[in-house]
Amino acid sequence: MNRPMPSALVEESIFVLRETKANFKNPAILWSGGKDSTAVLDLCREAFFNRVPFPVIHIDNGLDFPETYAFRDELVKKWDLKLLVAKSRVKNDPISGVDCCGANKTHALKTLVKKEHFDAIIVSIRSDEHGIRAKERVFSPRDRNWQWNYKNQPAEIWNHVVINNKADHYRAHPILHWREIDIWEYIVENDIPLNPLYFSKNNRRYRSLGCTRCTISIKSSARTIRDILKELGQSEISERSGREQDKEAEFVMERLRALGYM
Amino acid sequence: MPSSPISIVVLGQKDHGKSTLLGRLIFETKSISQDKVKESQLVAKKSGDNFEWAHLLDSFRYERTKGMTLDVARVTAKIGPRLYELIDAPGHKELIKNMISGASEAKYAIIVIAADEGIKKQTVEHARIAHFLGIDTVLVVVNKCDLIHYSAAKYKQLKETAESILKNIGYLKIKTVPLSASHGRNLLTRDSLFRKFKAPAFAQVFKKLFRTSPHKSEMQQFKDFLMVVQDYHDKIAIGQVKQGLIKIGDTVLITNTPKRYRIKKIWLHNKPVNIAHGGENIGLMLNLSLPKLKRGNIIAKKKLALLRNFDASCVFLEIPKSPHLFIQTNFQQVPILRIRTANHPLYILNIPTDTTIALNRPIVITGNFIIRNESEIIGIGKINQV
Repeated sequence: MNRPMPSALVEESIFVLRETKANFKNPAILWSGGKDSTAVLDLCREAFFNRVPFPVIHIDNGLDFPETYAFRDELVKKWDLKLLVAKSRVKNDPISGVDCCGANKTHALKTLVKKEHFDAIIVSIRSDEHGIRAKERVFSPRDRNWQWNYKNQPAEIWNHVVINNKADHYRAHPILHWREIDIWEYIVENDIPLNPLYFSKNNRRYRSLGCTRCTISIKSSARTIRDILKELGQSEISERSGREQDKEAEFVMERLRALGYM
Repeated sequence: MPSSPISIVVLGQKDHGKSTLLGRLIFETKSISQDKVKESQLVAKKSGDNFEWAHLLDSFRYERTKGMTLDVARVTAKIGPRLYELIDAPGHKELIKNMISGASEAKYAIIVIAADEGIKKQTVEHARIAHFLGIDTVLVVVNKCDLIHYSAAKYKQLKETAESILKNIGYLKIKTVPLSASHGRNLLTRDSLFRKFKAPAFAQVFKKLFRTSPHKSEMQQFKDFLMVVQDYHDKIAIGQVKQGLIKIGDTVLITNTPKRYRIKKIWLHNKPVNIAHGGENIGLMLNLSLPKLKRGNIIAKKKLALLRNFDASCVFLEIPKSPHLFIQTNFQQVPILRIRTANHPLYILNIPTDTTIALNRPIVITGNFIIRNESEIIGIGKINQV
């Protein structure tokens, strides 16, 4: 062999993306401007000959960081993305306790998906982010009420995709089995453009990116991806510890996801 | 490139301690961040429960209040030099479809047996299914040794019985270790409480037994090239190489066409290459006078066997009641005309069963398939002889 075997993780993701395109009439992809969904856009370009064949949805509450909007608009141009913005309202959400994200973003997504008749949404969640996400299937149906029936998930065996026509839509999770560090390795290897907020400025950076209201930066001097990889090797704190709505107490994530959150 | 972990599924009867073992293991190996452990402890305290190690895996509220695993959870842990993905499967008999969803991806299995209860129905059922799915290496964990007061004699007896059952099922490599997961004993290092057992610690055996994880396809490189067309766009046939290799200039058949076609171009993902291997997602351009290729067409170097009536080994998850049953394999769905098991007219669920199937048209089956109705998987199968 003249070249190393590509990573099995990458192969699996590309397979899932290609299956999504082949099995559904009208898929769309969620993009937050964060590292994971940006890596998935790049995986789409790998899978589909340098273009992203799906509309790209940004759920926007108007409160993202200026850097995020700038990065979004730049990449839309560079990669010729078909961007759709789902406008989310800022109002009290009793489940997460945060008024900017959680159920409000789900509502915005719902409105757009109904309008555009999307039958699959590609979502860049990973099982190591949260215990509830570790319970997901790669292809996961949502019913007419957008409920995730996690007590009775369909079997998923040997890459055979079975689509239940009674579902409202499916969530496709191409990087479900990746870890945080895998994403960074993929990003550095493939030189993927990234939101500058991930890198240290005044000795602080963001490890996980939400909006300005509910995301907290961490103390860090990591200015390059190499620095970040080194930092991850030593950290004893979880990736999303700076994200308000992830708190396990009150089972916030479970309740949000049951209603259609990502 | 991101590294792929070695996948291991954890099986066994409910309440024998699968989630507890994994919870303790990711804690001891520092594979879970400290704030997540603290948070789980806090949640338990708030709800007035005792913190259980299983809570690190059982994230649903339902799972914690019922003290049971509902669906598969995955965690990664570094044990020794290698990275592992540990798949926690539910032990209840109603949840076999979830267990299979986890086990079908695994290369190895751990079977947990509670020392005080011994081997139960679900222990054996899980072992049978995992073997059916292709797993041949298993680590038996005799858990809860505290409940047999660390009796080496009782352990020895259980070990012998378990190993003989697993050998009978067809497992090739079997190892056994005693431990107490909830007390964290004999997990990473040899424990003085187990001196009389003459058994190494869990991690020592684990590291030795679960060593290699060749990319599934690496084993397949020497077979003849085969790729099922997943999609077809702009004259490029897209798919994942199932086995073998393909080079520019090679000639292939398209599901047994009389004519051979030459490979003009190959892409690995989005990049042009000269050669592609098993497991890779590629694009192929052929010198084609054919009309469009379709999803499910098979590009191969050799002629393939078409099957219409065949014998298979199947595991049924549900009794096939719907009149509309299909085989699904290689992106094709073919209606089943007749299906009959060795237990006709009964269906015994969750156990590999000899089954005869007649289809309404012949198809190529290259290994495994699923049996489905309009909306879901109701069984899985493997061809007995190809």
